[in-house]
Amino acid sequence: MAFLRLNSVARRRRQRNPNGVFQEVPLFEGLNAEFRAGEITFLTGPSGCGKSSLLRLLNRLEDPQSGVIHFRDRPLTEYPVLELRRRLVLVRQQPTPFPGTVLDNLLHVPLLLGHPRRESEARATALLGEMALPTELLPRSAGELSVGQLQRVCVARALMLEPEALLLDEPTSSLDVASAEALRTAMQRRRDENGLSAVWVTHQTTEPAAVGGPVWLLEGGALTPVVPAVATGALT
Amino acid sequence: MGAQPIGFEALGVAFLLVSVVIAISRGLGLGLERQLLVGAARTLLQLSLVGYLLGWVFQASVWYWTPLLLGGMLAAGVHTAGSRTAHSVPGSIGRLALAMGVGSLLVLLIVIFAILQPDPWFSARETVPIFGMILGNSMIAASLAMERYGADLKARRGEVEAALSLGLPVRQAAASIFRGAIQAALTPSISSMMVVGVVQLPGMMTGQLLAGADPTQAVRYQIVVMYMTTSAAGITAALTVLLCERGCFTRAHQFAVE
Repeated sequence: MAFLRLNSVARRRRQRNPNGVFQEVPLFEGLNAEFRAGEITFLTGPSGCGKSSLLRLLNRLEDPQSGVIHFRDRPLTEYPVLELRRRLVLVRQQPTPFPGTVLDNLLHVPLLLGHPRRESEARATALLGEMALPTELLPRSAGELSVGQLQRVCVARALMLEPEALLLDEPTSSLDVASAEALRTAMQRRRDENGLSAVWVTHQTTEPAAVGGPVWLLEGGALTPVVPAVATGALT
Repeated sequence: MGAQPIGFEALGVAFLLVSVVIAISRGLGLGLERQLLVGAARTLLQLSLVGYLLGWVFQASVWYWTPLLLGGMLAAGVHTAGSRTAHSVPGSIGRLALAMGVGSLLVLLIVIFAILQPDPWFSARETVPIFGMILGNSMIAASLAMERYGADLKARRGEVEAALSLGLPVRQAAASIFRGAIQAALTPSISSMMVVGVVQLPGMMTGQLLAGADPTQAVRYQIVVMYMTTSAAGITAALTVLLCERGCFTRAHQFAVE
């Protein structure tokens, strides 16, 4: 059973033409793919090819103009949208903190969902450790953190919901080497020990080999699997 | 004892007050002379026309003139609010019309039937000026609320999307924007209630006092006016933001505009 399956998925984007008039331009059409559970699937491709848009479709921040995306053999649109987003959580490329402290950021959604505070706090502390961040950060204002720290807090914030999959949009692109390594290690461990699935958009050519997982190339409006041997050659 | 009737000479003297500002504008190079002149001319023309129209309607005393006048005032109010908030939220005119219509007419009905109780109930002498005051505040509240909601949503889109992507519903994802827009729209009404009678005597009360009314009654009328305008502002602002939210997001808790 495919974890996520794309059937003829198309997405168009509104864009101004040279005369300043808005028109719809295809971003991709007829995308077909299958992503398996318990794996970290990498999405790669040139800038502007629609990788981030594809993640937004999986999280239903947007819907495709045509085609169907199945999650565990049911169309995404058959799930209550808010429940779906908590099962397939998107971590945006630009880490965006909520107002307040790091702890406020981690507890914001769980408390609104009615989770007990004490358990959520324990979980927040554990997740911060998992992301190789010191617990001293918890009372600090999230806006004061470095980008590397903030991105890892955003991943921890997503993991607070105990999702089935993370949708990671270039999570390491603006991180320093140590922060990126810490994040990769945390994701590997989550996959290997907890069976977490992920769809990971990356520009870093060495990232798929470092973490391990199938690679798909989105280019020219088409999504194709990259054979590992070729992938090494193509990506390095 | 009533006030002296105002003749055309007195109006001419009053215009001198505006010409002082025109002189200041010219002296300091503000470039506002033309706008001030046009504004002064429009004040003269619009109010004179309204004066004649009201005089005629009061005399005619036919019920259907009242809803016609109120409808015309509402349309003008929606048009003005719409021109201030253009493009901030999709479908802004319809949303403004609904919010301002419900907010101002609801308050008008309560004031007319439960407080003032004029005879006959459709008496334009009461309903038209009262509705003018209610609508003015309703219009300002609607403009402020819509402008603030649209601007904040644009500026904080990333934060709202981050919250939506974690499975929060729109109302929770944009909670502070929702509340902030209503608070901003209510600030002028709250400020007015705080300083009324201390810093300024409002127009209606001043008018009544000048016309020789009993100060106790003039004050009570003014209290009713303050409460009704605050109520209209609050109801309109809340409705405006609710309707803006429906226009800016889809049922699937997605942004409706790119």
